Amino acid sequence: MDDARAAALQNVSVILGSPVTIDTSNPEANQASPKIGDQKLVSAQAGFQSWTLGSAGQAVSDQAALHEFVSSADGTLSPISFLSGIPNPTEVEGALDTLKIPVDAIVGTSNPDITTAAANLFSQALVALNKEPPFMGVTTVQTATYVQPTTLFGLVNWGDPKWVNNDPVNTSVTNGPLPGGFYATSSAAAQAAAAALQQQLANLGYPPPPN
Amino acid sequence: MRAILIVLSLLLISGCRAQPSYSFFDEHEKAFSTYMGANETKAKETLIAFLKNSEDNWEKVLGEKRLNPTRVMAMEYLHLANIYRFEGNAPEFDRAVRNAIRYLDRDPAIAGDSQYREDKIRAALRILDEPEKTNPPKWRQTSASK
Repeated sequence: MDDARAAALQNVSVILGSPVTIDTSNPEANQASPKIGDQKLVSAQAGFQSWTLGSAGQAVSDQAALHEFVSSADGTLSPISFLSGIPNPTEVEGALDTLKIPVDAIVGTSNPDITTAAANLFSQALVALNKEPPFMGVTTVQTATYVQPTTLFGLVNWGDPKWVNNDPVNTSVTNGPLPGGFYATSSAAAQAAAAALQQQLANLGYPPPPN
Repeated sequence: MRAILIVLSLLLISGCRAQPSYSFFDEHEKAFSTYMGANETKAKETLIAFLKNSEDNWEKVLGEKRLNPTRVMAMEYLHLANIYRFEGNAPEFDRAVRNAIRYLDRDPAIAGDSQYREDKIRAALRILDEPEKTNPPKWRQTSASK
């Protein structure tokens, strides 16, 4: 991505499960000659992951309580719930080999950094279990800030200004049709993530590639 | 000297074989892979063993940071329910779905969902059935083709 296309990220706020909100009210940062404090987009990525990946929610924390919790699950469901719902396996979705949609396909760039910089953030997704449904979309946006290195407790400038990467911003995209907003297929989750990222980048001044 | 060496060797061997390490992550991967495979009986046995082992090793399960145990347990109980439904075993199907719902109740993303609050059983079965419309386990495809 060339400098002319590098956009500013003044403030990024993310609400899980909701559209991404990005404030791009820093037009000065679009200049070719950056100033201290300017921010720019380094990389962006969209993909999916199984809902089973990730840290614990409100799991039962005690083993004895867990056994009580499970063994108390009795009662009978309605016959309707038992008889309904077995889907007819007429269509089998092909395995989706590509876990990530390269940002090239979204913003029309070809910088290899863009497709590799955030790869470690998706490391959890690169396991076989990522194929277990349902799924959620995932986006990652990496920005950098133009900083002046200092020393002596921040009082003395030290060296030339440079771009330093900020913490990446990860977003879960859960606007799907299943309970909790999850998606039935990995491709649907990935497409939703790609759309969310495209909107995210459009807000930053990166237009989508021409069709 | 030889006796000491023999004793040390035996201790080393027994130490290596004493406690196979338990991994919720690996066990889950195996259970899910088997469920998606062609052998329905093996899928059921593996799922039952996985669910029991997980609940017996719950403290270790909670230490696995790569997975959300609440969702894993809910999903594998639903998979087990699917097999019982396929077998026509209504009581076991009921029990498995109830167990899945109890885990789903503890997932904030699910428990707060309006369609789940309206009808938990229907919502739980949607989580199971919708993905399998396009990607069913092989044992169901095999049975359907017979």
